[in-house]
Amino acid sequence: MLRHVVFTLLLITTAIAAGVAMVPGERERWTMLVRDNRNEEALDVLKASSRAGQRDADAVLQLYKLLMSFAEIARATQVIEQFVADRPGDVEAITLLAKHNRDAQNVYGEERALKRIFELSPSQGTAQRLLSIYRLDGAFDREESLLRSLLAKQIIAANDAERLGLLLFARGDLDGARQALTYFDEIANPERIIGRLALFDLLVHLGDTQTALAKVAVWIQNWRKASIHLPGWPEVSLTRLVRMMMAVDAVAARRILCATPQDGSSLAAIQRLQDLACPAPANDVPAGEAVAVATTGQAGNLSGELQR
Amino acid sequence: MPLNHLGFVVTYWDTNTGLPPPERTANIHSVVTWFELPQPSDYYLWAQALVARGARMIVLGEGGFSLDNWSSADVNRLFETIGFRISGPFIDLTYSTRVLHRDQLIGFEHPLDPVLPGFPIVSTVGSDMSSHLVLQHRDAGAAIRSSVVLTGSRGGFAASGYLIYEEPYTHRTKWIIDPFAFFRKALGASSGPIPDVTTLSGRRIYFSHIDGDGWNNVSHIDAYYDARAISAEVVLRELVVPYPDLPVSVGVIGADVDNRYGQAERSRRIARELFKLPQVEVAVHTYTHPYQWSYFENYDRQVEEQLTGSGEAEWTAVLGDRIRRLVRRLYPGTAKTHIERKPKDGDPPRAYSEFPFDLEQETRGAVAAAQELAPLDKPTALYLWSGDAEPFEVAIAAVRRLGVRNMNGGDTRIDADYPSLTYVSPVARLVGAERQIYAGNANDFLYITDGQGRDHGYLYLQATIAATEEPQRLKPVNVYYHMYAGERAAQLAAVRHHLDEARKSFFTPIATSQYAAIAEGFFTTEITALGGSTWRIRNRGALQTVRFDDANGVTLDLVHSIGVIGQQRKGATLYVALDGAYDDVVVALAHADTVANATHPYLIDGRWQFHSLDRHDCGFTVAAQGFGSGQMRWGGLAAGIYQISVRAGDTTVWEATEEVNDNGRLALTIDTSALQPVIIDVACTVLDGPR
Repeated sequence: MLRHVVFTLLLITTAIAAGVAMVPGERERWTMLVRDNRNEEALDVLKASSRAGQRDADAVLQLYKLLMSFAEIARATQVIEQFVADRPGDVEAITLLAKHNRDAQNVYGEERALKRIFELSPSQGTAQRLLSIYRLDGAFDREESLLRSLLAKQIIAANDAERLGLLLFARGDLDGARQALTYFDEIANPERIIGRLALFDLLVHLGDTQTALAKVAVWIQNWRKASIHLPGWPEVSLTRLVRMMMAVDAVAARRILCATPQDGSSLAAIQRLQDLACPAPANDVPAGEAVAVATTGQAGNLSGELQR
Repeated sequence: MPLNHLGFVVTYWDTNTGLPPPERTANIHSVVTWFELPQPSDYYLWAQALVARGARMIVLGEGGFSLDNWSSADVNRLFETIGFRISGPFIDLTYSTRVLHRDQLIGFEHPLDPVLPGFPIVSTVGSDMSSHLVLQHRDAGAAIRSSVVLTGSRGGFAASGYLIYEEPYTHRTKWIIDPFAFFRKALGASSGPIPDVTTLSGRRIYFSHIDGDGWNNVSHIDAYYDARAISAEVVLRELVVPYPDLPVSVGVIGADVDNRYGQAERSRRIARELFKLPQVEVAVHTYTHPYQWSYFENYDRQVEEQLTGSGEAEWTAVLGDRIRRLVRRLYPGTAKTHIERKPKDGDPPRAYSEFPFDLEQETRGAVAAAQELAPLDKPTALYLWSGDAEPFEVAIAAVRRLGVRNMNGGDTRIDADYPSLTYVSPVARLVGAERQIYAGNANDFLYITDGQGRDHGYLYLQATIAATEEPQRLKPVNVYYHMYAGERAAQLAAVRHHLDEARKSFFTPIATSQYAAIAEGFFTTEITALGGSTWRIRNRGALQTVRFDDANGVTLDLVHSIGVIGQQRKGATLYVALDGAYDDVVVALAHADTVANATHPYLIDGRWQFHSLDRHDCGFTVAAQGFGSGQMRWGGLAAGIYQISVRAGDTTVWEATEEVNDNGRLALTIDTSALQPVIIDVACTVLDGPR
């Protein structure tokens, strides 16, 4: 009898223990509620859990998601900020915060988060978004600082390297400009012109004429190789480049410009450079230009074109 | 938008189709050009003749000349007539360029970039030109100056890159010049009255409309999910019924309530419930919901079937597409028609394509479908364009012939994602001889789909509402959403937020079709100056407000005005409320310190609309109609005790006694319904002093 009683009690105890064990835990509760589209109840469970100091990542992220789904933006912001504060070096968490701030149209919050991401894990993607924010905001000092950082890390895009070079050139930081434009020259497609022309001018300005002329020689080769027609390159830029080259070292300039065979297959832009710089047989030259060459010399003629 | 805001009606002309015929330019005030490609000589001669005839000309961006041909005689002959000339080559390397002079016009939304954009060398011709931005470029020891932004008595110029800034990664834009000041100067805008579409009864206009998209979507909102309620029902219960004081126009999609397209009984029942509500205006959102209207201008059922995959095997579709591409390459003249027949984004051309597109069904059929579900005394009042909301001329004409107003498109917004007035649209889009009235703001779809999507995004309409009110009122408030707002809690909450805000704000709520009528009035209004400060206003249709900018020191001269109800100030702007009972009105202004308005009652502002104002020796009578309680303020009354009574027909529905003190102002909140017209009678019983 006693054995039966003990056995029965044991069974009851086991059943109760099993029952208790089978009562869904908090995680199961909110998971099931979300599954059943009972989001308000799930939110209540998760809010209570949060108030009780629960910091489980899944629960916090689900709480955040639910708050957003009810457009409780201020509370969701607190939750995601706390989540990130608990994980100060976690790039994924900060990326969530950046996205949240963008979704909440908090541009400055997004900027702060992106800056932190960039510090922890620099990338062109993060930098591009930051640059957009800075540029739209007219925050050129912050833009320049970030561009310098991108250049130092050698993860700068060609457009941005050109932009940094031009920014620094306009500001009078010639060494900085040279560094940026030289890097731009190395990575940019052959058809990119403005940054290269600026680099040429800059090198001349710094007295490094040999490098300047050597670069033009390379560019011309590349332009020919790449079959670039350089649409939209204004006449004045061509004229100006030739004039600058001639002013620097007329002999070397002619050697570079005129050595390229004038075989009729020359691309329009190169042909134009040659037209400007290289003496042609008299019967191929329009009368007006022939007179100008004869009377003022090549450099004088080119300079005259610019002043016109 | 800035041109409309200054009171100008803008018609667009594509010079690729030739120059406008003389009848199109007979009465123009100005020509504004914004070319990307060089123009032929004919253009310059045509434009020169216009300027010589007295039209102003504003050249924005590229002047229509090639960078290699800037010195063309035709180009400069035109520009010199305006007041400037291109006097040197284009400068593309600007590191040695400095800003020599700039004024308040520059840096409106965005400062000048430290890397100055390339620019042409422009010099002024004549002494009446104002240079707002002058650059100095140094080259080969010479200093060259260029006026890249200038205005004068015959127009103006703003060089490309100095007009609008475009961020290279996101392509977001911002004004560099102040467009209002620039156009005001270049167009010689007068200080006279400007037809205003933002304000009624002295308050900002509020209206709301719903496009029917998502009508039958099952709601995922907890309280409705188990019942499998459709979104339209949720919107009805949560966003329409609880707000009887806020009018809303509900645009049903014909096919959504058509049994040929599926079980529509529940949809029809909800439509009937909605249309029965007094605050709901009956509208229609097309029949089959075209996404790209231009696709249907030259409709071909076979092409549509190929695109929707219903009539063609994949390999024949691919082959057909290849052949069409080849034909286009060989015969480029055929390209345009074909491209227009192809949807831009790969989506099907319309939501319901089971039956061939029929413009008659799309317009008249849609209106009839809505009408069938509406009470007999409630006609369909509004046609809401779908998809890209760029209907072709014939479609707009078809809607106009049905006697209903049309609206949608424009997508105005100004917020952190679109941080500029460049995203604020004009009042309407002119399509041939027809007008498509733009919505007041962008709709919820545009906010929800930003970035990777965000259901709550429509909350940020509040930024647009704020930015188009301060520092100057540029737009009415338009809570414009879709039926799928009833699908998700965040979407629902976002719309509810705006409705709650509207309830607390000082708006004049009106039906959406009324706003469309007001907007139409903007284009027909004729203003004639009768003297220094008096104007006759005719053909204004439903437009009942004119605005005076820079009106400090002047006020309405009620003695010499005819058909004017009141005035309200907002900063330096004076809004004048006109009386709808008068076809022609006369608006007279006077210096504030000389005018004698003391005993002329006038409306300051009100939530309702007012007309037929009759000023008595002691008080006034006015007809009114509107939504919600009748908040209103009147001025110009003699101090004393006034008896106010409100009549609906022969029945007095509200009465009160109010005291007016020495400031002559009477503030009332009439707590009765004015959905049907009421007559307000304000009569003095005891005056404090001599009148």
